[in-house]
Amino acid sequence: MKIVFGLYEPDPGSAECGVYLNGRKSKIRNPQDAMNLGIGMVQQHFALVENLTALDNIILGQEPMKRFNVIDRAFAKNKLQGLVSESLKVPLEANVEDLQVGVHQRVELLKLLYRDSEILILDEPTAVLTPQEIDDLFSFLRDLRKEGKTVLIITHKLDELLALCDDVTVLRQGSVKAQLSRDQLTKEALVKAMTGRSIEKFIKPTFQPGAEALVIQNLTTSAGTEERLKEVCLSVRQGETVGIAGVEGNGQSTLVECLLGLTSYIGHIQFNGQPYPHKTKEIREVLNVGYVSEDRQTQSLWLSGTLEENCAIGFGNRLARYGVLSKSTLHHHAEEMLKGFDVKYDHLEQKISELSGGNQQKLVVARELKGRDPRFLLCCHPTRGVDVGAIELIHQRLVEFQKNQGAVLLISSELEELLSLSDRLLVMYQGRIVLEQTRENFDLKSIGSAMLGGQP
Amino acid sequence: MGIMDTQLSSVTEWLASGVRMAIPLLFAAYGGLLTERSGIANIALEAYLLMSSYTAAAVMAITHNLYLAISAGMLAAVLTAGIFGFLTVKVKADQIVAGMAVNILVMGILPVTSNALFSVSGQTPTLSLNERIEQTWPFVAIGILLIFVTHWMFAKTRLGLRIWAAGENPDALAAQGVLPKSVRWKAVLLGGLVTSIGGIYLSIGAGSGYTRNMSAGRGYIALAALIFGKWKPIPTAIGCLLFGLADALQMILQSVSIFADGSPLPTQFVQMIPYVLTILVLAGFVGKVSAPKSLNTP
Amino acid sequence: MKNLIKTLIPVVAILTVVTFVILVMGDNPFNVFQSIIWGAFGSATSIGYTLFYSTPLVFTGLSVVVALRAGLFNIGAEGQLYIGSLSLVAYALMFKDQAGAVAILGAVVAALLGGALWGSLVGLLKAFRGSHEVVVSIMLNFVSYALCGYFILNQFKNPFSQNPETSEVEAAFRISNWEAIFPHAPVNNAALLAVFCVGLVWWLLYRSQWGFDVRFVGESPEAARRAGLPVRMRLLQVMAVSGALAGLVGVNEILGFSHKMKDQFSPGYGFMGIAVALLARGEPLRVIPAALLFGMLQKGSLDLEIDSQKMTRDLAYVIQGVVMIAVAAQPYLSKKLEKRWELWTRN
Repeated sequence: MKIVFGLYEPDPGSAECGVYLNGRKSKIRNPQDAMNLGIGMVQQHFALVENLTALDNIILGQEPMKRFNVIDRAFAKNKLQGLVSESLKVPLEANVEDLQVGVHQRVELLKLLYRDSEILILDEPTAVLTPQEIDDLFSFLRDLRKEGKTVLIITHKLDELLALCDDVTVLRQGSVKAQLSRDQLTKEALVKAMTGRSIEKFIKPTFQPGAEALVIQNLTTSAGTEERLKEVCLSVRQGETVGIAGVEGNGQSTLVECLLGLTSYIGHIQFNGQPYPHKTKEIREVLNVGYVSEDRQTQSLWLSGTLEENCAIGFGNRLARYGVLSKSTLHHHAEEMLKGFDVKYDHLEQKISELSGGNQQKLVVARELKGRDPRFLLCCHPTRGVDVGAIELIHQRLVEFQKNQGAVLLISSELEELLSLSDRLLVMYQGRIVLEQTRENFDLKSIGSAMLGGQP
Repeated sequence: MGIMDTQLSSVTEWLASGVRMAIPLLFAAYGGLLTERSGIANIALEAYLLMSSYTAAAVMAITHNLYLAISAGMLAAVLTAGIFGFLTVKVKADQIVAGMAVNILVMGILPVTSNALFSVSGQTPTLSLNERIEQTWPFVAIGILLIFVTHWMFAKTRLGLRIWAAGENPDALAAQGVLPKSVRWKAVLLGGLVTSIGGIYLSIGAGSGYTRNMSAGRGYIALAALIFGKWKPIPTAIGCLLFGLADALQMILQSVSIFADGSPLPTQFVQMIPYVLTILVLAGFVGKVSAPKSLNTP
Repeated sequence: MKNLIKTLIPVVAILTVVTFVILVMGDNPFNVFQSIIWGAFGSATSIGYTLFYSTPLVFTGLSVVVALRAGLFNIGAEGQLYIGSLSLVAYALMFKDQAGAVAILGAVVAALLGGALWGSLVGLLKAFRGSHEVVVSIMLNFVSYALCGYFILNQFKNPFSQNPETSEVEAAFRISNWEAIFPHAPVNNAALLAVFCVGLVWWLLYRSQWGFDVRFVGESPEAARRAGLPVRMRLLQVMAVSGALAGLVGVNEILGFSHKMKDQFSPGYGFMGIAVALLARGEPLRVIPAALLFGMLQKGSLDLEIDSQKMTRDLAYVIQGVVMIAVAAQPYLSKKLEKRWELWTRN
């Protein structure tokens, strides 16, 4: 969608591919082109200037002018008042930062209407709205449809699709999985298209889990954080993998930050009966928690560093003697660590950025599992963007870890991965755990619908 | 009565000289305000001041034409801003490195050219009285006008709105179909133009010709005033006046005994006031810092 | 080929611009360059001066390099070198009776501590209050000028001198210069200290756990935070080390040369350190050639003033400014040139 709006340029392909508008291929190189063609977009992260008024935000870029470069705000206000229906009331004179998130979205919508856009693209418009606001938004969108405007809405939520849409296109991993028109539109058909075919179950041996390792009780983070947690309770036993499913942005990263000591929280966390430390240093170096991050390039790796250096991350205190990190120590440490993880490299003083994503990730897993030898692994999207061989190896290592009575909290957006590795699966939706199932009774349908906010 | 009179006259004297000290600060700080509001961190104000004060005085000494001198001074600062803009807006180089580079370059170019032109390094010939702008009031008037115009510009005009948006959230501006680059270019060049008036005041207003390192760090005090004023027009102007008054106070205090043994308060401690205040503001001890959100991001 | 072009671009650009400036000023570029190089290397004494001017640039260049590696831009080396020098001279004047190695060692430690204090102020505000290190440093520079002015004029004033300078330090606090090799030149043992510091910084950055942390924090701050590194402490320590290195300028200037602290003695060594560090691309070992280049310019341009009617020593600043611009614009220029090169080779 960002391509349609001109924010990204598409990779050059064959002559037929491109954006077609009313049957004509159109060239959209920047947002200005898109706007000239009557395309407007509300991005998921609003593009608003916070310390300007709502009015200024709306007219920015297409200000009605008087003489001497003066903006004719009265004219703009009149024009807007003509557009605004009851459901779209916005205090135009107020600063955006003083308005609520729901109003921010109305400001974004007004921007499009102010520019007489014919095609409106909305990216996850309801993520930040209350149910009441969602109803208002939908009735407004229906009005627009009556006026002959085209509305394109991107959403993860099932009910919204059913309530609003004429045509649905299902995209998964960059390609079209299904196109459904109004009469084909059923909950079952959608869930099937979104989650993929029923999955061949990875035969994972079952282990006898031990005592409870990690116990989280009523974990709540303060308001104002983007992905707020609300009274999250969960536990992971020794020798158990607990998966957390959910559409991204429903509180998973906040949960990770709490467990890393990066975000303050209310509630209790215990590990093996002891209070869980608050300081990152203690969590990682004393309690020895392993952590595979969701974005290896910025959160796990030292991208401009060498392989040796990346292998040594987190082991400074163990490897250094009197504060000295000798070349040979680093070398041996890295060599030892990477054994059995099939990381392909030329030499250990190579920059890690020269490795493929799969090899980088294998190094991270080797470091956090073999190097650290933890009792608990916080594992986020362990196979994101890596090749099939690496996936297989990483999964094997995770299972071995669990076999040795390790506790794993697995967060992933790959439902297949979660289903094949987890002993228990929790679904997170808007900062809460909304569903819990054990391996024996995994039910794809109810998991899928819980992820999308439906009733299980 | 007599004592009261002398005190009164010294107070008015202090205020008057404080205003005079504040003039170059005001223009430089407003040049900085325009630039930084568009998201470009500007430590090159010192270079603008030096360049415009030198060029104005040099052209005056050669052509004896006031209007030519003023225009040349303005042009010189705008060209300097052009180099800075090329580095920061076009090349997207580190804004601090770019500012340093321009400062050092100008520090070198002035004495080299003055040596070639007048055979004195870092100076222009002394201007006679009728070659200077003797009165202070035109500068004060322009300064006051500038305060209002800038305030008006940000409140009412399209350019002001876009500069503001470019400094806060250039992505939002881009999404509305306006190139942040072009807005920043305008802001940087305008910043050079505004600052140049301060430079011109230094060499052919308050001074009689350019002397080596004439601005003496005023570009940095202006930056301090801008931060002290939290990047807002009116508070920045107040900051300039305050720092100007502190500067003037330091000269008066040199002759006033403060301590019991009759020795004066060391002037150096008065000199420090603007800088220490600014550090306190930056550290967040004096209210919330409210820099443009995208300041110093290419 | 590409790499060669990349390294040549700044050099060619700098030479072109500087030649242009000299031509516009009506002088002969060839004579000017000859004069600079002769002035810097023409005799043993000239070389001694060049080394003397390069020494402080090694200290400030290293200071900027260390901070740069942690992702911090230390524009405050100028202030740190003044406070370092001030503490050095204060120590030497207050503990006059020291003798031998203790005297000099004490003075060096004083310089280190003074610079470290001034640097860690920046680090403290950056790490714990989130203040931008550049603006804080600029402000602290001015505070340091004022402080030095106060102490030089009021506390340690030389009663026998009309100039703003302190009394001279005792003989025990003077380090030997290299008269035997470089007659009449002020180059002294501080140059050895500078070379030692280069080695030390290189070792710290590349062989110690601390340097590992620092480079990691500078290049991947988020990963460092998540790995449990004490990020804030490292930032604070880096600024302390950075300041301490800048403080050592006083050893060369005061213990090795003037034996007193003159007000405003630095011709901007701290700012030149930025140019040195940028030219060295943050590598401690490359600081030596970069500092020598600027030291040569400094010395050569002093002679230039005598040789040439039209040029002044300030040409050194012009060249410095152009160097910084070239380094800053280099990624952009080489990208442009690469495109041209591709088009050209394709046709």
